[in-house]
Amino acid sequence: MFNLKQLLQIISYQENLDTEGFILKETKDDQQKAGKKDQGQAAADSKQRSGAGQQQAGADAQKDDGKVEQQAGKDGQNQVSGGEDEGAADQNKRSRSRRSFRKPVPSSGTSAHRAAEDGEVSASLEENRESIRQLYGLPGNKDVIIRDFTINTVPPVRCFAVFIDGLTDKVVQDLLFQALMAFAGQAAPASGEKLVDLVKDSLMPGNQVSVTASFREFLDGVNYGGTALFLEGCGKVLLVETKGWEHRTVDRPQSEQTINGPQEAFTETLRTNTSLIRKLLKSEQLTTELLTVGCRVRTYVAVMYLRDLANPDLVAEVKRRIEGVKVDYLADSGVLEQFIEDHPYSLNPTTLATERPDRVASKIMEGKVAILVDGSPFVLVVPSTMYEQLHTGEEIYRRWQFGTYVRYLRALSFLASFLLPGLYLSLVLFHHEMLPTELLLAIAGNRERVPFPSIMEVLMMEFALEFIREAGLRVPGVMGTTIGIVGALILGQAAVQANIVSPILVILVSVTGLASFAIPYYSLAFTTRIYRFIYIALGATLGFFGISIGLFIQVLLTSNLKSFGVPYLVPTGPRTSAGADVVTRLPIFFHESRPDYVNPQDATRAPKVSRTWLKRDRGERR
Amino acid sequence: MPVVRILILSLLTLMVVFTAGGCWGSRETDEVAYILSIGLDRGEKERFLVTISIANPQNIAGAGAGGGSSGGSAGEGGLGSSVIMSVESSAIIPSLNLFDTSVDRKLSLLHTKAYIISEELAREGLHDLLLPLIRYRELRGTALVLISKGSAREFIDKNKPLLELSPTKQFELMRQLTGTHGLYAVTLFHNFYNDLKSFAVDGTIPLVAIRQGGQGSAGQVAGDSGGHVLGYYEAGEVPITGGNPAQIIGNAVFRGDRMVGVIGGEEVRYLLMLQGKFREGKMTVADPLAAGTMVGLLVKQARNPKIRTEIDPEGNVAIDVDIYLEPEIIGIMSGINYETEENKALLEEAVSLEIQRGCQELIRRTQEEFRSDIVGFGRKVRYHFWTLPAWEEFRWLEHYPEAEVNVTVHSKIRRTGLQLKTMPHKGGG
Repeated sequence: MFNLKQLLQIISYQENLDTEGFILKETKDDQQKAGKKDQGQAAADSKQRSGAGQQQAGADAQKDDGKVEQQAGKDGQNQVSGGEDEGAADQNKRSRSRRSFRKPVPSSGTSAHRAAEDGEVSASLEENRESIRQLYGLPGNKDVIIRDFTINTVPPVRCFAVFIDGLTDKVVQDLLFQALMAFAGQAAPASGEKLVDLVKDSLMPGNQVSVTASFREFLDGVNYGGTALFLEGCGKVLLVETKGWEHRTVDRPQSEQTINGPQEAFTETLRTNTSLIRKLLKSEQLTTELLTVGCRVRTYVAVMYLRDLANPDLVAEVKRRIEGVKVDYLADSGVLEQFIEDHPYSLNPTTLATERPDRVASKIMEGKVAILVDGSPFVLVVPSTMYEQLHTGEEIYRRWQFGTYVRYLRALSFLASFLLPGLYLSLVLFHHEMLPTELLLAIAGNRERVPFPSIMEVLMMEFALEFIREAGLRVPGVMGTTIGIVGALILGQAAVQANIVSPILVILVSVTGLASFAIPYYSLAFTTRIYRFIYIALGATLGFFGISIGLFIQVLLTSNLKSFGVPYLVPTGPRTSAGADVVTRLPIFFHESRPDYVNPQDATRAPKVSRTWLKRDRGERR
Repeated sequence: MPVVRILILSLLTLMVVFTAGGCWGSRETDEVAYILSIGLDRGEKERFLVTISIANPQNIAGAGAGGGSSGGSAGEGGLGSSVIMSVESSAIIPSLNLFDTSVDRKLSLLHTKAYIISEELAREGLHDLLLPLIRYRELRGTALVLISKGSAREFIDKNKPLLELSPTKQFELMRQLTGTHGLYAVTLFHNFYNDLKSFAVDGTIPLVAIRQGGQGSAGQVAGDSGGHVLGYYEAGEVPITGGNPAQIIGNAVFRGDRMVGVIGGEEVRYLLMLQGKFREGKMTVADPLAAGTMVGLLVKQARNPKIRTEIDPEGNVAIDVDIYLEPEIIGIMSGINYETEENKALLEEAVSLEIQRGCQELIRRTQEEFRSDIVGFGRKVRYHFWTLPAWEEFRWLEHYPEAEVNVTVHSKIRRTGLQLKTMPHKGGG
């Protein structure tokens, strides 16, 4: 065991204090400088964070006392840190475990900042200015602009506006300043409260103006592109909506292209996205609830649903999960998806992410809930089933015969995308009798010149295809055509001529690749890409027996999934009423009810007779 | 940590599945040699002379794929699409191991499409020859069984289907081809095995042979009436010149597991008509109105024959067969307008009589000469018995030669080809 210990020691991490942190290698000069700076800094910092300094000392003492005393030390430390703010305690713990790890002191976590953030707006302009300076780290932070001016009332009122350069619309702001500085020729009341009302009601031309006394709301408004107006002698701040940052315009869908149907896609702007949906569903029942996620940086998350249709329990659950996400920053709807999904360890995605507003609208019309994340062009729709993930929405726009045909084609491609290489291997390795003689001899003849076992052959081609897929995605645009040429050469002629793979396998792998591209939902295509390798392993070791085992387990795993309480394989997983739109897409006038599994408030989509112009009224006979 | 535990558990399960449950019998296609056909002759020292034809996939793929730029030369130089080997052995399946001493791959019967047995062996009985094969895991029940009129080795050796790249395609096409002429009745391995076990029917196996002799001198015309010469041949006698010397026509007739005789191609047609398996075939009948000329017909079986059987307490069986045919006129040498109602009836009559006579003659031969019920009348007679033991007790196959069989043929000409009326040529020509 001695050797094992030694080995573990060699491969385990040992800290080197000289090269720790961001400084890769310290020279002697650096060390001397650092020593001086440390001393100086310690003296300077000691005032600001005396509590933290004490703890540091305490922790150091415990360290010297050794392990036995550690428990006691912890208790003592807890006593010391009681009443201190969280950030400091956190820092202390870390410093204890990692010893003298030089961690930069967090600037935003300081108590002064916290105090300013939670504080109320003061009546004094100077005090407010000082608070803002603290909150935004002025004058270091150059994005935040404080504009001093006087309102042209009688008597003039001193005030200043706060906004962030680049987030505001200059035209709207010009209008604002013009109105206040030039055209406001009214008498100003002495009282602060009335002054605010006057400015808000008669002087300011902004379309969304709110009044608040809280710095938190002020920060949220200004950070989201608003302009804040502080008035002399008034304990309130006026927030004007002047959003106008650079953004992408509404474009065609990139990853969910269709021939028929609307050609708009979501963009990165939350308000644009909500309006795209509302544009399709012009209803007063369509509700957009705004939530925020993120402790350090707040990201707006919109939850959209039809108030008279969506099941209130579903809406409550969606909101509960989103509100329960504690994270410092929410980067994308894909991140939120991972936080709120039911089965993070399953390969199958249980939410539907789409960039098509028409698709989201149709889902909302089924009683589902859409989740929009600010900054993400993909909208999540919950609950989601596997059948739904194999739809594109386009089938509805086409005539039902075409839609049905495409659905069955897609079902076939779904199966082929993960089963085909495994089936080939089990046929070639175990079940020779199942192939027609001529085909078997053709396969065998081509394999004669290939020096690898067939599993190697398949894996090489599969990985070549995976490389091409990944490279095609990452290749810089100018070099885009190279991928086509190189890919075609590798996967085509050259590999066969070099006797590395047999030509039949080239066809097989390309068909598998095509089948996987035919799956409309990218996440689901990813699922099958990974399942494919499991089936290759099973087919190569156990033949059809292995593939049957694999299918059995996969069906069990998949049917066990739920998406916001709805079984993933509904309506076949647990058998429920199928409706007119699962795999076979029935004629549009049979789409009479909404999906059963969503339990919408109104299950009827259309009456029995949706084509009332028909002379023979079938409804009456029923 | 339940996740870790689940991971470890599933890993262990997978290991068990792969090690304990895994069939390590996987074989790459380049580790196996596929036997395409097996020939069985009487051996000189041992009991059998086993001949195998092994596929040479390189040649098949190289010629077919078109990508043979690199590999074509390897195939063209030496081997053809198959390799033929023989060994003397006391049993068939163990002989495969003997072959393995010279072939470097495992021999596999998975794609064996034909078992060719020499007439000599067949006349001794096939029972102990076929039964071990039936038990063998790799046997294809859908393989063809053929009886070779000479040595089976010679047949495999000289059989060179000219149009086929794959040597097995010939045997696969044979199964379809019987439907277009009915000159032989295809027997699959499991069919023959079932016939062997049955108390109601005797088996037949198609007859193959290599054409002997030189140009066109093969065989003598065996037809006795001279009216419908087509098909009065047995294998090896059809006077074809050129092409593949192998011929398949006629069937070997079995009593039990022993071959007792041969019926020619025309008789096989009557056999198929009686069984209801005749699809279509071209025939000629003597012109009923103009002596010495022929009328060509494409005869199709309209529906299954009606077979009524009666059995009296003494065990005498009477069988009435009604055959329904639909001939279509191909050619009228005499130029007589057989499309008219009255002439058509005459022609139908002639066809019916001709075929009726042929069927009766076939039944006479099976009763007197072969004493074996190859038509399978026993399957109908069986319905008169309440229990299986009673039926087995009856010993139908021994009663068959005494049974009274009457065949009636009903013909109806519904189509006359592309012409609705025959116009005699202007003459003088």
